[in-house]
Amino acid sequence: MKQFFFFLLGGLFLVLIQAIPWYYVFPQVIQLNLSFVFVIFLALYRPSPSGWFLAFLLGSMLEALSGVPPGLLPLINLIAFFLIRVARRIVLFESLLSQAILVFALSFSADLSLLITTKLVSAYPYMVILKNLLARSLLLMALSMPLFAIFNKRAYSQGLVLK
Amino acid sequence: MSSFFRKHQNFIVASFLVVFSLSVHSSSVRSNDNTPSFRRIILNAYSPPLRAITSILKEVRHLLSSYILLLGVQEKNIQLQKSIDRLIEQNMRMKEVLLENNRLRNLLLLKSRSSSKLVSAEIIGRDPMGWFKAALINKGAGDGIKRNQPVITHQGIVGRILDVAADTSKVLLLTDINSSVDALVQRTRARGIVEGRASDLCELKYVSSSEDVRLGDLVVTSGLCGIFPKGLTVGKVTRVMKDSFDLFQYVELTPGTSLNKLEEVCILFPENN
Repeated sequence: MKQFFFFLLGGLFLVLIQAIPWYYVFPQVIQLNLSFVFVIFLALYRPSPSGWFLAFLLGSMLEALSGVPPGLLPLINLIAFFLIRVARRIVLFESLLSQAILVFALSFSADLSLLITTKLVSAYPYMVILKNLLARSLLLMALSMPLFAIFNKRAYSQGLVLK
Repeated sequence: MSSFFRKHQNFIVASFLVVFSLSVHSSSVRSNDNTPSFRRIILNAYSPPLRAITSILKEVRHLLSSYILLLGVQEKNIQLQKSIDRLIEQNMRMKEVLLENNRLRNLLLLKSRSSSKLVSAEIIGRDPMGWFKAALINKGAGDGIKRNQPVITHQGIVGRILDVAADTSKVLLLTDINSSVDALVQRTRARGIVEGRASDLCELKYVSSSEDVRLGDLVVTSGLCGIFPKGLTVGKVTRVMKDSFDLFQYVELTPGTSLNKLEEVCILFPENN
């Protein structure tokens, strides 16, 4: 229960970071979906029903603060969670490299799905979308590596095994 | 029964959550005057930390402009360092106050010009998903704010209220892909619908190819969509593309208000309120 609330607080904090108007101090800031990295982390390290519920909750909270149509973000988080659980049967995702590739691929796919389902894909030229998606996914991948590196180390030292 | 649930708990919970998400998404297609309770709770919960952080960011910005950028000046002018520091700090504070004063004065002029009631608000948060355009303001149901109320500045329209909580509200900006405003070209009265392009631009759609639209034309609200009163600035035409075989011409607008750096806005109350 303690761990559940710890993860919940972590997720709430990431959503708060995303909602802050950083342009007051930093005029050009790229907005990244940090909570999505957290969802991937939950799928790898907390695949229990509480993990599913946290992924759903994170999506719902993001959606409450965003202009995105309701229901989409929780659904995308749940689908990502499911895909990771299925892929785990083939690839263990224990190495940092495999986790980084996973973050990149899922982030790219999730953003693309969001653009397609909300018809945003028609608002930009295709090359702009591709460049944007690649840049965001690469940045997210780079930011996620320290988190996974720390947790991989702790997981091995505490004898926790990726389920 | 309990062993069945324990064995398939992940699948059951996941299926339930997926079905719930789909039902929420499909029910959102029907228009609803009230903000759902869950969204109200989240908006209320995030309002205090966002307000606090926004105040801190404003102070940090003041600190950066007052001190850090002037270190080189301090080093070069050691003898006058203390008096210059004091004078520059006062000057920077006055400049910031002057800028804020100008913005608020413009809002006040807008308030006195308008026969409708106006409530001013500060931006305390922005859309956490970079692809969408929404903003959070520090006024809510407690201040009489309701869904679909127009949000404006002295430079033009900003958007409309999307969700309302007790002391915070979510504004759907003009540049969001889901935003649409009935508008007309002020010079020729050519009508169209302004839709967000999800960047910093908008498009005036469904303007007939036979209509005369030029670069620099001002586009204003037509008052027909029931949300925005007539005559409010939407933006300026920055691109026109016409093909003789197309029914409609392509008209691109730059919004009158710079929506990327909003700090203060006004919410317009209808005249009968």
